[in-house]
Amino acid sequence: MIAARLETFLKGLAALLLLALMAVTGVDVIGRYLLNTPLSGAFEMTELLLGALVFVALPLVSRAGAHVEVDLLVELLPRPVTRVLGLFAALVSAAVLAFFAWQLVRLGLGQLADGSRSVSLGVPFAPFAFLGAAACMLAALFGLIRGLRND
Amino acid sequence: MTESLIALVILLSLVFARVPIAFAMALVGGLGFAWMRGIEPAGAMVGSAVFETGFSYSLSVVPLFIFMGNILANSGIAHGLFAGADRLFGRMRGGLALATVLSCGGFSAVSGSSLATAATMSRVAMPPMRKFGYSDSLAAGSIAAGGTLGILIPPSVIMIIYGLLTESDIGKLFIAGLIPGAIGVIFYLLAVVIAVRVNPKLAPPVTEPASMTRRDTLGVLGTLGLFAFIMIGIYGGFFTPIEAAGMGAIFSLVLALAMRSLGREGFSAACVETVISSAMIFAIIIGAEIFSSFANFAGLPDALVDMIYDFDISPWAVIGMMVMIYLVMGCVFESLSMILLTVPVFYPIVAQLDFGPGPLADPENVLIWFAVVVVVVTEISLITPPVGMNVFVLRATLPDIPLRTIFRGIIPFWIADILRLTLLVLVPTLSLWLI
Repeated sequence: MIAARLETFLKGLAALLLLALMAVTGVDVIGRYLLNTPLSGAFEMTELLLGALVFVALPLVSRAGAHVEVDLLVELLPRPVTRVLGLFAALVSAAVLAFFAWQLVRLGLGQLADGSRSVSLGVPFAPFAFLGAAACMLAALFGLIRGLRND
Repeated sequence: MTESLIALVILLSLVFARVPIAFAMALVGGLGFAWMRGIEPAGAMVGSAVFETGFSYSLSVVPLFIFMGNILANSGIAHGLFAGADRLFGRMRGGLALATVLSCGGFSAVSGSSLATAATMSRVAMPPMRKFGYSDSLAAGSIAAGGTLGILIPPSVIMIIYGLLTESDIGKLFIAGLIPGAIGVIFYLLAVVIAVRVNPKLAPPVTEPASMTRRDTLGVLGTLGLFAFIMIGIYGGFFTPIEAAGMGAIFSLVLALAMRSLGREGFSAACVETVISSAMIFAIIIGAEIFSSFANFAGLPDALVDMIYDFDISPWAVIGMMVMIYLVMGCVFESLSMILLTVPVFYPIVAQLDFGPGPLADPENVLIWFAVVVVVVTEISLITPPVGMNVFVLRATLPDIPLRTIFRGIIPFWIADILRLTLLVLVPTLSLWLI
């Protein structure tokens, strides 16, 4: 229930970020030729939007089970074995994602302490690192739920 | 070198145990790095790989080119392309399969992804082929193989990623894919012609001539227009290859609105599919980044270069060995992870090879030609059993066709691919002529 709501929210947010990403290029290029006023900071806006987009969409991949994996052995092995393998894969993935989250928190705390910001727009980096950490944790959680439920 | 090999073995075991490739690469790379340099630096390396990959300007092409393809996939232009191609070949035996190959090539020109091309064309081309009693193997084989053209005919997400890894000119890479892509279409067409000549039962004659609606015509014109828009935009200097992705997405959205064929549902489906595929790709890029940091630190590329010098191996033999490695890897690895794992290791070697005078005298040209070779080998991997991604896409859209049937149908196309690969390797001019 909560997971489904969260999913809808993330989908909407990610779609908005995608459209914004597209619009930035459009406004920049069209402005440059037609109005002679390129969008200042378009380069950085693209980077920030893309970074946010990737993080926001990451939990969706885990929830949809859309990560690329090799299910070559699945058809050859007996069902109990594939079940154990599926759980193992989910646990490994969750551990890796949790490690990502931990490192992003550390990175974010460092950025907070340094006050590091993007060069031309002056956007602080730390919130993005914390967003990434939250996204990785959520992805780990979604992956685990899937692994436990599925076969 | 030994560390890298052990790591590769562990990586393969994890991948076979169904750990997603992205996380398997991250885990092995991170642990390997920690083992060689300590946990603290490994953590920092992983943290910055995860954080910075998303903030890479050039990678903005990934979601935007995928978005462009998904909008078009949901807008019915693929149907127009198929109908148009069918009018061309309608009278020939195997005409529908020929039309499938040609419209796959057409859709590739506005889509940067092979999987999207195969998925889209299977929805359009499969129903008529089944209706007229085409064999499932020929029908599915032509879609799976035709779909692979998506990453060779520009725009191509894989080419862009190769360009980023090797610092090659993305505009030149796109142009380099044109002739090899056209050769691909021609060879696939010949494969169909020969296959139905050998076994006419594969494709019964079609009695009902195809008709084109106004919307179909608009779809064909729109596709040609979009391709021209991207090419003229890039090579006329109006926008960069990176910006082409955003402009292409806008163009396709306008086109879909003009055709009134993309409803609210189609639009939101295109958005959601795009963000999920993009994040999936970024996860793989992050994993590969972490693994490559380790492989580079472990000295894998240097060790390979030394080996080539020590044994005085001829440059053509080196390329031949790399192609073999790709063909073998392609049986197991998915295309993007294969490229991300190998290109950083291979390209410094390839750039140093001395081919003597000729089209390959310039290392920059060598890297562009190598890009075409790598992409064509990757295309082959997409239809090679047991892990041909395009085949899996087909099976997802057509669950009632057994895998074995699809792979049987692929055989003629696979032979055509091997011939094309040989031709492109031996005649670099085909890739470099337009540059």
